[in-house]
Amino acid sequence: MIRLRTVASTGLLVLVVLLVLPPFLMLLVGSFWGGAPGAPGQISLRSYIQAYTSPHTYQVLLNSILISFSKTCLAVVWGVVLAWLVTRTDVPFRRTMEVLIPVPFFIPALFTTFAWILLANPHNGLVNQVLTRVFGPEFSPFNIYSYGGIIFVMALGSTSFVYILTFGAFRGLDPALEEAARACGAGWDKTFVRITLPLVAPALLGASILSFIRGIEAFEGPVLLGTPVGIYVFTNEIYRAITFYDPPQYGVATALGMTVILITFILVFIQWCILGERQYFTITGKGYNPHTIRLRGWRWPAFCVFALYFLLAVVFPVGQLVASSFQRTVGVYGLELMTLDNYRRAFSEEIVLRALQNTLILAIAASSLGVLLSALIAYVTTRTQFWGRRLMELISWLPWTMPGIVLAVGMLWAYLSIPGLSVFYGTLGILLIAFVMKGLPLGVRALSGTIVQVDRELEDCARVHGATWMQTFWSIMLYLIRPGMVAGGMLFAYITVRDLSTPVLLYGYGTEVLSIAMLQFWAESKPQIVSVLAVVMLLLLMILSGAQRWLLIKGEPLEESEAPVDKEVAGQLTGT
Amino acid sequence: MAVVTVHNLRKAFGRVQAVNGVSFEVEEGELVTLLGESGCGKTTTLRLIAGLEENDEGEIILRGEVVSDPARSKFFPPEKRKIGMVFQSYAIWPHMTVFENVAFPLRIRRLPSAEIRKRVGEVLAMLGLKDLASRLATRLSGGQQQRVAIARALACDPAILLMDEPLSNLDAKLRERMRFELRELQRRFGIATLYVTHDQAEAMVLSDRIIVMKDGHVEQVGTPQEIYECPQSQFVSDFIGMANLMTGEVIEWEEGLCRLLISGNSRELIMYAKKGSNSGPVLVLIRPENVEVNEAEELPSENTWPALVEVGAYFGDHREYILRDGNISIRVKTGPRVILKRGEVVAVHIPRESPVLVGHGF
Ligand SMILES: Nc1ncnc2c1ncn2[C@@H]1O[C@H](COP(=O)(O)OP(=O)(O)OP(=O)(O)O)[C@@H](O)[C@H]1O
Ligand SMILES: [Mg+2]
Repeated sequence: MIRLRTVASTGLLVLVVLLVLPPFLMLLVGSFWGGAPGAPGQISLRSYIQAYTSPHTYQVLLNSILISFSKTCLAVVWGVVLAWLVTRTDVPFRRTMEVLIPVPFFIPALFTTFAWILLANPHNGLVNQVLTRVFGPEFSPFNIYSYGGIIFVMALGSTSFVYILTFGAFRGLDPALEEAARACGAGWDKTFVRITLPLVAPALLGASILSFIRGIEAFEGPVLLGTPVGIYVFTNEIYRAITFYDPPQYGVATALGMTVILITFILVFIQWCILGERQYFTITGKGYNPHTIRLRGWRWPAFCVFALYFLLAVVFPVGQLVASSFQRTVGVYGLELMTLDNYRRAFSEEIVLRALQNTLILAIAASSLGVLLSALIAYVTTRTQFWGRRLMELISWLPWTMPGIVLAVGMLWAYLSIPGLSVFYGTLGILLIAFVMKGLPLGVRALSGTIVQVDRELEDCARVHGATWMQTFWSIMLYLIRPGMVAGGMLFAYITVRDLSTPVLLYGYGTEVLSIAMLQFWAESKPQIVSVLAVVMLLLLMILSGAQRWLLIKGEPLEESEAPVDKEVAGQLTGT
Repeated sequence: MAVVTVHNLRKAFGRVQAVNGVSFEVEEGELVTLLGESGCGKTTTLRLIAGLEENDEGEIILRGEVVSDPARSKFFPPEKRKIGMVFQSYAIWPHMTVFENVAFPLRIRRLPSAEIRKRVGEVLAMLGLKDLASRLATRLSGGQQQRVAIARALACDPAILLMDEPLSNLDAKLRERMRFELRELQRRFGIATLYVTHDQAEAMVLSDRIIVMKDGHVEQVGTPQEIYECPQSQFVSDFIGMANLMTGEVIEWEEGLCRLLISGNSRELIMYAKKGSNSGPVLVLIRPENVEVNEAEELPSENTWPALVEVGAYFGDHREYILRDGNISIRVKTGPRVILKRGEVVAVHIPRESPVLVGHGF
């Protein structure tokens, strides 16, 4: 017997398939095609042969792994030490640290990267200027355009990410386990290495793998810091293959893209094997374990670990961009040189107004469409017996394996070569589809996590008392999962506002977004305008997070106001 | 005409046959209980009737209308069945006030708002919830939540009320009081009710009729008295109340009487019983409160056996002892003043009218 519910679920499945599969399949087809999208070609291994006979590709592979691995190590050590300090020791200002360490995680990679270019470029980087003034003109040690620079900038966001992912594991640890070790005569250093670390090892390993995946997928750092000096990883290499050559090397780009997807698949698989059931956790929680470890003389040195991190990840970058947005010439700073000219100039540029408008439209549209779609998918996959629910879950997860730039290549292929879809090309529509798709895996997870917590009888009760399936969804379910809806909606908005890698291949004249405008002004060597736009982007994100808090507090009849957040939800936000 | 008729209902979850050929009826104004052990399929039966699950086989007829019959590809979704239901967790919607919770079924049916206000007001008044109308539903005690759930189920005048262990979330004292209150309420509304519980005392107090279920099928249907006094199977006699069960061999039938040889202690038992066809082994049930304990001097006389006192316990209003005779242990209930010593030998007297033959008909 055919029910309306089955029909609706099937319709949803078709929609998800149509949304997700074309870029994915066309990327696969494209990698064997040989021709440009939409142009004639024939199935062959040519692209793979071309890509994998070039020694450059192996350099790219090596670079990707090396850079991502190094920054993961740095971030894990830093993040774990911070998490341990905050949860297990008597370091000063623990409460403040607990609130401040997650902050860098919400600052876009684009923002931090631009800031650090201005801070540590070899010509007029502020840090170098200060050092030359102190130690003499030969002393200008920092060059951000280097392996070290890329790793450093990427590690800043990742540290906060690792901290957030391991914080819960550290805090959940029973202090008695450590006290027992202390009673046996182990010092706090031995206790940390022999007891604490092994106990949090699963969480740590999970966080490391996620951080590594995000490192492979990162775009902003490599393209801004690596490309100018010829350091290539997968993401900026794919970007180069398409934008620097004429005609664009679509074949190589897709072949490399498929490689990244494969790597991600394997890593995600390993991560699932390790984490198993422990996928959900809460970012913020209540209660506070009594600290166990007295650092004594090490208290202030330990605090400096935090202070250094916060300076490098937040104070310096934000200070630099805010300062340079008010200065006439970047590299020359002074209070008496303060000016609003940059803002005046930025907002008289047509492209800035357009980008701002487009970003807002896309953020609103992507978050409302995305969260609704996620809610429906999460509902069907967790609450119904629909035959295609496993398939739907799998497909909605697929974009997770695609870095923004690869997703964009897939979209290009699909929307240029499939007849009928090409009308979307160069419109806001294609960007909207891309952002919804990019947020989908995390959106669905955030909402599934909320939906499974809703008692089934609350729904059954509505059905029995006369509400149809749809009415129940609208009048009961949507209210009960509001925390998840707000979190999910913000997720889509965050991604839309801060992402560069997805729109960079998909925008056209008239559909620029904020990150694209920043890139363009950067290419035009107008760092003051870039600073202005970066500040605007940061303000936008702050408004969003304020709005999220307000929405959660305002419409919250339930006692618990903290939606469970998936590790991977956190992962996506850093973009590093 | 019965309000609910269920015929040969079956439902499997994968390999688990949760409901396996259940048939029964609920009449106008009647309160019928589904009673059985955990996992026997009570909740599933209720959900099948509500339409929250789909039966694999069998018919469900509500007020003469077939609402589910897979053989004819017929299935009414829950919202088309016009029932009221109280869930085990109460399922009070936390984002609505008490008033809105109760008004929900009426709003869904698009009644004019004046009528909704009137009807909800009436129901709330009936249940003593008038003052709580504007309270957020989550800020209520367990007992109040339960009342709200009942009010909501009754709001749109359903022909049948389904309740799934509505008292199991309340503390013991409140639960006992609510039994009588529920019974009273059901009488007042005169609504046919199907009530699920695993608590036999609750079933006894509440029910007009009890349906005893086991492993997805119906063991016995009857009034509480019938179920207690004339159980039709070993399971029912054991499940309801306390029971001494013995096997025996029929020696002879006299008019209205049956002479038996009890297997465990090879003694004779004479009891009232209509002549049945069974001549082989029979199962005899004797309730502990129907056994008399006397001094050992009474021996020997009819239906009087010597027995050794094994254990005793004091319950305040009565005492219970476990006595042994041969391979048979006999549980007896005595007044609180009857004190038997451990190891003492007493005479157990079983009046002719006490024993019943299990599965022998009424
Ligand atoms: N949705 C389901 N999926 C799989 N099996 C189920 C499902 N619902 C019930 N069952 C199984 O069907 C059987 C009957 O379950 P049901 O909930 O009807 O028992 P019950 O009599 O209500 O028990 P209780 O007194 O514990 O509530 C059980 O073995 C149960 O495990
Ligand atoms: Mg049950």
